[in-house]
Amino acid sequence: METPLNFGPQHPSTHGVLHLNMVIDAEIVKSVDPDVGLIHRGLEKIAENRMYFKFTPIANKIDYVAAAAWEFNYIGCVEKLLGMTVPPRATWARMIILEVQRIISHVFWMGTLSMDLGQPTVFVWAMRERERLLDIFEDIMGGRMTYGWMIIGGLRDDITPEQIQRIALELYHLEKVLPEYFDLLEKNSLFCERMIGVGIITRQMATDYGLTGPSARASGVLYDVRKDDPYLAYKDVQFNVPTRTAGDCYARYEVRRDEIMQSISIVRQAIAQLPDGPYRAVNAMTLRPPLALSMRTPKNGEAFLRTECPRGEGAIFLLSDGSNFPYRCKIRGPSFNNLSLLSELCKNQSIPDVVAIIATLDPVFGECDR
Amino acid sequence: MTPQKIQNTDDAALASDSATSPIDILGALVRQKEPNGYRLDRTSIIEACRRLRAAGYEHLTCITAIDWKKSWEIVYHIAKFGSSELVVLRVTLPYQDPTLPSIVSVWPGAGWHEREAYDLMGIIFKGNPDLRRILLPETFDGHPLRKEVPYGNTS
Repeated sequence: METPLNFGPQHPSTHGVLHLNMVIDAEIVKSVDPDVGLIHRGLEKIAENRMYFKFTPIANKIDYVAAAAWEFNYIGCVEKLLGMTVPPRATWARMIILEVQRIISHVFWMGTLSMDLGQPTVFVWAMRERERLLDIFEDIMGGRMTYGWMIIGGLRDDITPEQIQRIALELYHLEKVLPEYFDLLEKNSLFCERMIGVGIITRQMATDYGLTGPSARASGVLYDVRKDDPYLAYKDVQFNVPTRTAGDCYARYEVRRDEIMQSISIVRQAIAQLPDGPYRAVNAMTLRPPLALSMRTPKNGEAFLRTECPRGEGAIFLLSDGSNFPYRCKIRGPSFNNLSLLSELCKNQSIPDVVAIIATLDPVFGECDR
Repeated sequence: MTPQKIQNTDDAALASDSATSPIDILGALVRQKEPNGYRLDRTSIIEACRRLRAAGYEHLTCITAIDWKKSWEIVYHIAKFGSSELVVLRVTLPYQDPTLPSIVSVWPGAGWHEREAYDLMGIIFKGNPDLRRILLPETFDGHPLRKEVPYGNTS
């Protein structure tokens, strides 16, 4: 007998506010209609109605788990629109922060995944490690979750040698403890059984639905914006892009696990190569009114910047009409695309598997709903 | 940790038989080549997407609808894996008639982008089997991203 079931939006395993209109037959899901948009805030309309620099703090809230990634995506897009060059020190410092942000996001994801699959120990420990990194972020950027540290043309504050050292020390700590946590998950047969062979995404499905990020790379899609269309200084550092071809939940876990280790290596290289010099351009848009108000954009200009956010390819498309306000600001959130696959992926799965599938797609509803 | 088997995207030879440029792929479908993309007629959008996907431009990044007050513009950003190339297709629609064919037959994932453009901008994508509101509730009145809709606490 087929029964309708409302899955979420208050269910803890929906990672926020995902509402699934399901039809189930006993344990088996017959059809799923994802209902997103519960925290739609109209960010694109907000962006069109304020000056460019005033959207920076709101850009942080596109994805509240990896705020720095979206802060850079927006700031970088405005800089591209203006044709502004950023001093090398700012570029490298931004890259350090973005990669630490990726580690934070993936560690947090590891925690929520293990919570969903009945491993609260790893959740608590992952949150502890994340908190240590957030402390460093608070020291550098003045906030735990949202920052406003980058400005158009550079950084608000320079990064000091002491802060660099704190990051470097923390990396050693992470390298020591994270393999223990991975072992806790991988050597747990219950965890493995719920992940291996569950929720298989083929390469065809991934490209059909525009999947990006670790979820796509676990299905054999070799797409990483850091390699394919390098921004910041990613072409000057050595790193591998972890990929798998299995496409199941466990492959997605493995890709993110390996990505943490690659990010640690990138941060190390960036710290070693961090150049001295000014940390903001001469014409940077500091918050002093005369400078920020005098910003001039090209008439009929446009800029499109894609970056590799922790969850996939984030992109911002800005159109200018010569005024201080963007004419159009399109935000492309990776979670939005990744979730569009759900109705096909969850068909004929059991309900506990749906939980694992959602957890390994790693949605964040700030950037899905915008 | 298990032994890492990490492939590098650098030496991953992507099956691309196309040394051809987008203009060769699109051919006569392009009505006008512009600095920021290729302008097409709305009738040729499905064929253009189909050809691009077959030629290795496999990733539809996003669909953007723009309200130019006198007309509409729909912008498709299409990327190629393993390359920094980005093909931008642009379609202009008359203000009174914001309809164009849907490309769900080429990329099923375009469905949600089209629903978003319909929801926020009121563009009708013909052939989309599921053109409902997506971000806003079904009961919402109007399309808030249109320039005619005022911003702020007007209620």
